[in-house]
Amino acid sequence: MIEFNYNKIWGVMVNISFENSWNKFEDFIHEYMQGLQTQKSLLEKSIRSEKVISAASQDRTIASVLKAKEVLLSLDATLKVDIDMLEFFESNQASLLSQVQGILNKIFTSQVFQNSAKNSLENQKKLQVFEANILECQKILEGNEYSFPYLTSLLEVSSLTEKEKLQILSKVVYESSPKIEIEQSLPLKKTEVSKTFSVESMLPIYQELLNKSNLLSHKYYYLLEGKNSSQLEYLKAVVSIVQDHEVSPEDFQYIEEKMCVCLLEIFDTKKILEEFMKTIPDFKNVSEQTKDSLEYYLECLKDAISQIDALAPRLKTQDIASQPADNLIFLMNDHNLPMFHLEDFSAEEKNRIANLLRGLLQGKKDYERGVKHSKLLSEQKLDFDVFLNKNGDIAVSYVLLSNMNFLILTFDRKKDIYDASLYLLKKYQGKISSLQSENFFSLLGEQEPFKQELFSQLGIERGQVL
Amino acid sequence: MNDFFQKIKKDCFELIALKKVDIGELSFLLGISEKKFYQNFTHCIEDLTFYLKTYDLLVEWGE
Repeated sequence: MIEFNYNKIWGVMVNISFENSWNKFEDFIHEYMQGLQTQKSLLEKSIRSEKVISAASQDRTIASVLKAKEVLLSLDATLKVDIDMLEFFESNQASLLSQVQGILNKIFTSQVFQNSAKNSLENQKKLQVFEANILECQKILEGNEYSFPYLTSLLEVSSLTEKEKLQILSKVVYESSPKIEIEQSLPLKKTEVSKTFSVESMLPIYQELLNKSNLLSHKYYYLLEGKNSSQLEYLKAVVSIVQDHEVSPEDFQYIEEKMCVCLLEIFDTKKILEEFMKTIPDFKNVSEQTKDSLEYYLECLKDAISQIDALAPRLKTQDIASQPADNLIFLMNDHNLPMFHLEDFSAEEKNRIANLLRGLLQGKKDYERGVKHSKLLSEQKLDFDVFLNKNGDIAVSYVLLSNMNFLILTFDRKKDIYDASLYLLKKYQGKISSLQSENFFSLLGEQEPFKQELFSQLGIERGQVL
Repeated sequence: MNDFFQKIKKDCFELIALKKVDIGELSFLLGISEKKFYQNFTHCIEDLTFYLKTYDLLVEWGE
């Protein structure tokens, strides 16, 4: 068996650091269970008391009340006077006196008896909840068919650091990958000869994919950091839905989220492959089925890696600083007119358009690194992103042709900017794509008179700062 | 998939109510119109990253 060197990040981080985190989590679970057991014991004591009271309530005799004396007094000390009187009458064989019935009625209508039936029902339900929770904790400790949502909720309330929680969740994701069941090969009859294959040539490919997936996982690990257990649980659910072929990742448009799904898919596939490779005793002689399975898993890993590679350039990178735009051009129709009409806007709205243009001239974009960004969502497959900036109720849609060259699509009211921009994308997608190359510079000179006029109407001076 | 949709929808709207989130602002950050936002939560769409993104934004809203 050939040994594979795991990348330090996964081999050490996942295995050794995980053990520390898991031990800490186990300690927490033990402590939590202890608390549950204590509360369960108290509940059981209350339920026993309620049974005693219930028996007395049904019997309604002096004897039954006196039998329940200890329980009654523990719940309501004010009953002592009445119970002492009952004891007196009982010991003096005067239990048939009319006063006795009066005292009994008073006791049976006290709060203790009134609340008992209701409390008993509630306590029974609470007891079931405690028992269920204790059972779930035990299952997690035993690693036996535990509930993932319960595990994540325990993690959430535990004292583990976010990093420790993430280590545990990452490992749990690994562990929940389907186990590979390898068929037991039947002994061959002497007359049969089974064809075997060598998969040695796939080993370098496997190693390369393993290295690549480890690098990508390390590079984009930050996308998963900081996510709480619920967020990770939802990501895991989407991975399962994709693996069940209910949806295709081709339809996923939010880049960071798609990357996270791909990352988790890589974790899953890597785990499956690692387990599968361990089951192969001799890489020079494997069955056709084993060869096909290995090819399939390698292909899956390769696909997941390719998806991340394809997405990476479109992942928003941090603006180091807002730099003034090099150039602004406008999307024009076939008659060389822009996609918006200034006369359709009020004076206030024109001010907002002016503010948006000034912002773009300063290189300001409304999105930042991380989850907050204003990117137009389009069902068309685009090789560029369309961003939105807003100022009050007015928004502008634009494309970054290069780092500091902007193509403005249109201005519109916030509620209408989406439909307006989507319409333009449908109509002018090809033109916009071509502007990302040499056509851009030829338009610069052509649009200069238009820009001067527009800026003049809006009161913008070139180089003006907000 | 329906279980996923129903659960994340419930969690999202609970957060919207709890944090008094402006749907217009939220849909802007999602890059869609308000109308599309409501449509996406009326019927489950195939782009599940929309729900992941919405939930992420809501978890971090106000932080």
